[in-house]
Amino acid sequence: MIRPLALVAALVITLGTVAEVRAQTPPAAAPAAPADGRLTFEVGGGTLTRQPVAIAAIRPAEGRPDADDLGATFGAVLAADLEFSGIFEPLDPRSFVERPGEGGITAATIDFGKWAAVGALTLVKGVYKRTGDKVAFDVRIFDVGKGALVKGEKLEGPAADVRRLAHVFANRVVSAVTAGRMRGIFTTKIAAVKRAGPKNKEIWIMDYDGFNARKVVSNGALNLLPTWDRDGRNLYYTSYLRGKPDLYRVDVQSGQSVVISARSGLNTTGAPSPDGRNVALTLSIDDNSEIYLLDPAGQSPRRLTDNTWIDTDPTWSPDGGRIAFVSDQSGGPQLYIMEPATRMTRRLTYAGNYNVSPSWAPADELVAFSARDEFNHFDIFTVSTAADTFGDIKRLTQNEGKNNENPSFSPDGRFVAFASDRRGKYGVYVMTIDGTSQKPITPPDADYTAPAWSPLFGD
Amino acid sequence: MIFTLRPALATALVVFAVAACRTPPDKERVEAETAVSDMVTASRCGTAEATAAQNLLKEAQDKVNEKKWDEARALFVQARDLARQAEEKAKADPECAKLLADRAPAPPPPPPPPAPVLPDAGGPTTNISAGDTFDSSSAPGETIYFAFNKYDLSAEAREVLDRVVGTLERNPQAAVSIAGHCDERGSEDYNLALGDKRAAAAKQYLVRRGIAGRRITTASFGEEQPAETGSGEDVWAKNRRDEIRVTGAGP
Repeated sequence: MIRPLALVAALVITLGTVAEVRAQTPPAAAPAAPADGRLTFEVGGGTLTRQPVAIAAIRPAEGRPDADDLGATFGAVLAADLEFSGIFEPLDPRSFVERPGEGGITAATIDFGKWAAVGALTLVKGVYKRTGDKVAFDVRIFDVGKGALVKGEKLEGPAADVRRLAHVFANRVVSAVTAGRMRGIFTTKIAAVKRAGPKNKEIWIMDYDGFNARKVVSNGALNLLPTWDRDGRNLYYTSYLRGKPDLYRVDVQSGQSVVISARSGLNTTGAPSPDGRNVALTLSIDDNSEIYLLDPAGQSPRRLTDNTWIDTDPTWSPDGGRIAFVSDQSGGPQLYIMEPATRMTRRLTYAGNYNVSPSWAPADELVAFSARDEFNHFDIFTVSTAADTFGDIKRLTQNEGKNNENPSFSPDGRFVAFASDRRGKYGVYVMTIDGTSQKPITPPDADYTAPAWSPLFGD
Repeated sequence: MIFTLRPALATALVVFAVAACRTPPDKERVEAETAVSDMVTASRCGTAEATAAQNLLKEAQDKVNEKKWDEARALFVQARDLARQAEEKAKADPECAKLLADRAPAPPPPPPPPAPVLPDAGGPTTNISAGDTFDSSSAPGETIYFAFNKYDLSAEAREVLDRVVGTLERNPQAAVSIAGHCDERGSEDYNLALGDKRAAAAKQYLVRRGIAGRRITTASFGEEQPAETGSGEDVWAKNRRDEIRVTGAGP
């Protein structure tokens, strides 16, 4: 569902310790970490030491802030992004020694002692200029210890896009400070189903932080279970537009939908393969749900399962060599792994009697899923698919609402989006893959389910 | 009857790819719009074919707005044919006649079935989801119930299905549609498969009792169309069900 990235893959596997980070950092692009090595973070779990970052007030290059105070919005979005990343600790501006607007934005005009004094290792300073509906930012990242510029960025766009500009810059900060070993996910999107009426559900997409939500599919019928294609341009979804569950694909920019599969019975849980050559889905042509592969146009069905029980909900391994799916062949729904090439199948989960909605991590031997526990509550778990820890289960949510469902990994594999009814109505939540920092990103009065995190986009 | 509509867009895609034409499908549009507006009986009965024909017409009109004339042409042709077919079928359907007769005394004549206009739907014939096909309270229907996460038939369910078999045997022209539903618990994705299995279980029973498979259509609604909203075992038990409707049977 999410495109794996070789870059992230390499990162998750290799970025284990401080020593490694430091040892592998090319001198030309050293991270803004001083010799005491406080830049300590581990991807994929474990102890984190967040790097303190000071974001100085971003002011107009000349004159007073504009009425919308775009600089303040930019700074706030940047701080929230870096906080979310888990590798930075944005410092409280009230603690700053330098007053807003003081000092320049060049290494020569910054008194780095004032920033070292408040504990910052990284400093962001910038100015902006608004011209009508346009805005241009000049923002720079400094290594406080070295008193040197790490990277400068000039970003321009419509004033209304100030959040996007800040997200783009936050991505640059993550890349710069980790010397390209990590990529920010701040310009990614989350698709979800929004209830519009008793028999009317729409597909929406929003920024990863829940802002800028917009409707992509709205046709008065039930539209369910969106999944992204690998380049993030299209969503597959199931719609009852013609009275039964058929699989469609919508171009998220134009909003144009095409039918991919409208065969007799179910046409659900479409999952494009990482190489883009296949769409796995559930069909029930012969009155029993089985997993099939189709080509991207919805043709040439190839059947992967053939039995009398339920098989549904495929999700691809990052290399496309395996599929995790749900089958009730043991009595209740459990997760299984299959190699489509050989049809070799192996049971993945044994605990509990209701394990569903698998989502394979974008670059890891890890599958997130939803399970019913001994109190009949549904929670999010992960299960390992690695050879030495195959089937090891870890719990991510507990005692928060009765229903936590439909996990979906962020494209860097460090976060999971899911749906929860802990506030009453269902909403979309995000958390780390350790289950920490759980927070809603949709408003409490809306009803959102079935989140799907997009792949990384080019920015 | 209800579920025999097959979206034929895939076929349509092939057709317009071959017969590519660069002019607006004016003739097909007039024919389709006429056929849909003539579809009085079917749309008053709210049959699934009528809804589908209206949807197709709207899709075709959207395609015209996008200047995708070949796609529009194919959809207009489908809408026209389906609308004519729907009207013919509805007129011949005694159940539909009865439905309309029941409504007739109420002055003034009843409006056509509700077509909610959404702000962004851009047309008077927005979609009515298939639940409307099944939930019509004035149509005769049977319901069978299931245990949580199960799709095997209880003794009570088999009794109900035996009655359906009787009706179908007495009415060789009649068809039956079965909609499988789940309670709200569990995941949407799995419940769609579970609802499908529940509908299939009833279908298989009917087939074993000698009813031809072609007379039976099934669909799953997962957890999307509860008979009763709310939570708790009483509500859930009512929602884990197959809704069975015989169409085209005599009075």
